[in-house]
Amino acid sequence: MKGFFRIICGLVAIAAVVFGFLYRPQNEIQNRQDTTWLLSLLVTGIALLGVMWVGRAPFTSKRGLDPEDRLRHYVQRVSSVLMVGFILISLQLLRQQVVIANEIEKPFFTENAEGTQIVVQDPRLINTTLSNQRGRIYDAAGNEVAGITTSKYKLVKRTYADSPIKQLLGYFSPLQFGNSGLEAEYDDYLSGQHGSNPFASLQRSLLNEPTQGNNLYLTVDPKLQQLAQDQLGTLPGSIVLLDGKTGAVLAMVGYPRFDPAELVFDPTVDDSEWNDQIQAIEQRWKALNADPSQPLFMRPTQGLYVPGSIFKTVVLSGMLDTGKAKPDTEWKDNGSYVIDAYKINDPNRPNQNTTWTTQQGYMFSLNAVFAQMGVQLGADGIRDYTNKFGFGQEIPFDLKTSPSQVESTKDYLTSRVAQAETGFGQGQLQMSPLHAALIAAAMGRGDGIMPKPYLVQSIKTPSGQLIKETEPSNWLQTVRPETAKTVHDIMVASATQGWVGQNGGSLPGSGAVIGGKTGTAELGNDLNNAWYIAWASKGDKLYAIAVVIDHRANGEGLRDALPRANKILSAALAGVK
Amino acid sequence: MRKKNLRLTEIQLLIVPALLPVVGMLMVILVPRQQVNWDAKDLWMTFVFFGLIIAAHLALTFTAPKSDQMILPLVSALTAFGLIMSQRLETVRTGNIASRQVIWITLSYFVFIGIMVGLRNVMLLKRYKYTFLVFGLGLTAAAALFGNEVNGARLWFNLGFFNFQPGELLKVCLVIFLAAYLDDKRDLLQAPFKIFGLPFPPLPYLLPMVVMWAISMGLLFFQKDLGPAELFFGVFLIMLYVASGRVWYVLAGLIAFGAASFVAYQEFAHVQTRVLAWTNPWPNGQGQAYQIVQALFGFAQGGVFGKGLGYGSPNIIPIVETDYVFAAIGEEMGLAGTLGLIALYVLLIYRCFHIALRARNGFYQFLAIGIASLLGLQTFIIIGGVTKLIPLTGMTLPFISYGGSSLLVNFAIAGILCRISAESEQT
Repeated sequence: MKGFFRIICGLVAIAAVVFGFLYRPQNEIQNRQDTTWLLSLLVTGIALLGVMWVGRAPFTSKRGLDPEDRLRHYVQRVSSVLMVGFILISLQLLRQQVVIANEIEKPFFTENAEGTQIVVQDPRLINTTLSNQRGRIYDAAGNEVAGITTSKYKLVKRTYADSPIKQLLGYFSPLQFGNSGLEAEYDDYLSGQHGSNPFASLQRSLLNEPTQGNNLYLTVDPKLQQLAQDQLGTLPGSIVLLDGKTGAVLAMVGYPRFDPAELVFDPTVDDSEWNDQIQAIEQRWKALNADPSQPLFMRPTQGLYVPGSIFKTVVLSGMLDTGKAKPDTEWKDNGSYVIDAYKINDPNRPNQNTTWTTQQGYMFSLNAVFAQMGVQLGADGIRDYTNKFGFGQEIPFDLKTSPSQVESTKDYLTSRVAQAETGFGQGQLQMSPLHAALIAAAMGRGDGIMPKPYLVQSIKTPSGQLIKETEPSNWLQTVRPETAKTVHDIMVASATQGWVGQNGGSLPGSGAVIGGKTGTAELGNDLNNAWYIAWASKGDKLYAIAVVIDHRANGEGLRDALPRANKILSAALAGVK
Repeated sequence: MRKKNLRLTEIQLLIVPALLPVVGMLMVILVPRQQVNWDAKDLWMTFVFFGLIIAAHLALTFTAPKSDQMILPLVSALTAFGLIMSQRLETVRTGNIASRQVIWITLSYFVFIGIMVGLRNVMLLKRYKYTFLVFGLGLTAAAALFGNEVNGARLWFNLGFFNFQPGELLKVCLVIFLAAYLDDKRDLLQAPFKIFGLPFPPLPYLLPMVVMWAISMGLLFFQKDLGPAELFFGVFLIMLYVASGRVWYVLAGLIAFGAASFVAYQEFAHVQTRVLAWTNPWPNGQGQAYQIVQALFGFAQGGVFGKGLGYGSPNIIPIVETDYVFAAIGEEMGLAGTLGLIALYVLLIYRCFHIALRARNGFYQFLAIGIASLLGLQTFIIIGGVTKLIPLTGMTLPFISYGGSSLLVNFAIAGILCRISAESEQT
């Protein structure tokens, strides 16, 4: 009977421990309270006492024993009680150190007595984060853009070279605001979670050495980037320069922007200065967020601007591709175009002629001609071709991109007025500068293929071993190659004989073939977006550029965007034999 | 010297504890500088410890060759852990605790050797049982009246070079007194008198029970902390049970103590904080439960094999070197280290029981059992508290926590144990 009782007690003890190890309340607070676990430990303790206490009785009557045996028996019982205590401690340690160790290490979010959100987190993890030897970032010329310095306590600070490229990196603030930009998109590689040799990682963790990140090598040319930044100056807007054949980003600037160095926490200073520093960074963060000019916003990829006349490139492609127009198709334009009692003025005519070919319409950016094309292309045609050009889709890129859009209200394009307005680039159109540059690239290639843009050329381990190399690839086939070739030629005509050509857009003396289109989108109150997209091919090189100066008072593509692009293209072409 | 008087088992067992502080040397080589405030020139501590172990071994060989051969190795191993941890945890905040700990360890081994040489007849302790009782209580009362106030409780005498804690001494005094008293009144066990049919303990049992309860409550009141009261009363109940064999007394004592604890919980905010930090520490992890939460993080970081000595961050835990030294061990040595330490304690406690069962007379038996339960309960209460098994109460981890009073008293206890076993083995 006693043996049976002991077996039952032993089974109960084991069952209670197993249950306690496995059971997890759904509620995070209850889970952290361990109430169920402590109760199951209590059951375990009592059951273990049952095993040890009952089984040890060697006598039938207390009076029948000599004092020595009696003492031995009592000591055994006392020692079994202490033993149970130490078994419970061992189980508790097993649970805290192994079974739920990972759950304990997770940050615990809660509210304090005043109702403000606080997080209870292991400061040792902060140390791990701060001692991570984060990967460095280099430009195409091999200069370090972002690096690290390590303090004597092995804490690591993100450092930045005085390079125009740092605006593309995003901020690095793992303990305060998280990361953005490249620092966020490539965090796995930069922190070393991805791409590192597993044996090397294991060795580092065994030797308690901080994790080592991998280095990024960007496609950005520091000289062109500097030039683009200088050309943009402090005008709100963006400039994107691509290698039109591969999609590699050669320069990409936006303004207003922020300096990631301002948000970097420096753990290499003395502990006593940490709090002040954190406060200062937080102040700066709040100021950046409150700034109405939105400096944290990555304009070249996420900024959306009304495209104006540069959109005529898409409409032209659609018209030619569907066969609804040929380059020499004639259109009426006597200075305005009336559709459904809505009058569209055309201030762009170079003379008083009233008949214009398709090619002339594009060269002189005739709104009345393209309003007619928009109506002819129709809602379905516009939707079809904008879709083929990648509107409404996120551009696959190394940074987050905002999809360009054709209509913001559903069924907007069903009205003919909307089709006409969209036809010359107004309406509800919105485009990102990167997208505009990609359209130029697709036409400049002459085959209509839009390359997949990229910013990161390769990723290497700190010892220089290649982890990943970006192979140029295609994103979209926009229009048929024959159509693209025709658009290519019309763009050349625009850049040589059209408004662009008359304003120096052909870059005489550069030895390059150039096609381009300006745009001036009206935003009301005499504020305009000044656009220019172009491509320039020389030898086996093809450059594609998009410049936008946004909300410029009386801004004009010809005056504000074109000269800036010309300077950048000249500099890029100067390097080509 | 005859061969059978050589303590060969002890020599073999002492090899590991003697080599343990060499880890200190390895820290200098392996751990990046700045993580440990510890220097190659501090290696003298390792050699001092080595010399102390040899001295204690020789003292045992010459004065008590037949005494138990496991006590010294076990105690030395635990002390070596204490030395390593004090070296490891030395920071600007703690000051030079490692060299101080070496001084305390040296004095403690001298106390141990002194008892081996000087206390040739442990029965002397029994003769002066009331002296011990009055001395212990008097010292504690004096501390309560004239001592230094820490955390609202007067527990320490500031003797200039160190803070002496009479509570540590009171533990031993009470155990000696209880062992002597219970041994004297043992024969009365068989004569319970009955009131309304219930077997009541005879007056000689009832009286000390009430006195002990009163002392425990006094401690509870002065210290505003359950820990020492739990320890004293627990030791008393164990000794009472072993002497009387009646679970009934123990249960009655537990109920009385539970009632008093409940009152203390209602009255003292300090106790409420401790209980809150046990039942629900996480929402208060930045405030009242900061210490226990940091300790739990430390244990979790440790995992199975630990971060490695010098590679964790145990100094994040406030006053880690005394109450929370076990959490530091858990972080840097992992589950392997903590379970290993628990095994050492269990072995030591069971060795005490072993000595008790072989002891020559009743006083020795009770004394050894009292010492065993004292070590066992104290270890359980502090480790259980640090691992959030029970509410935490401030107490030292025997032989390991940094601090002089506790170490000295624990070595005195070890010395008494060796003397008991020496006298029992003589024929």
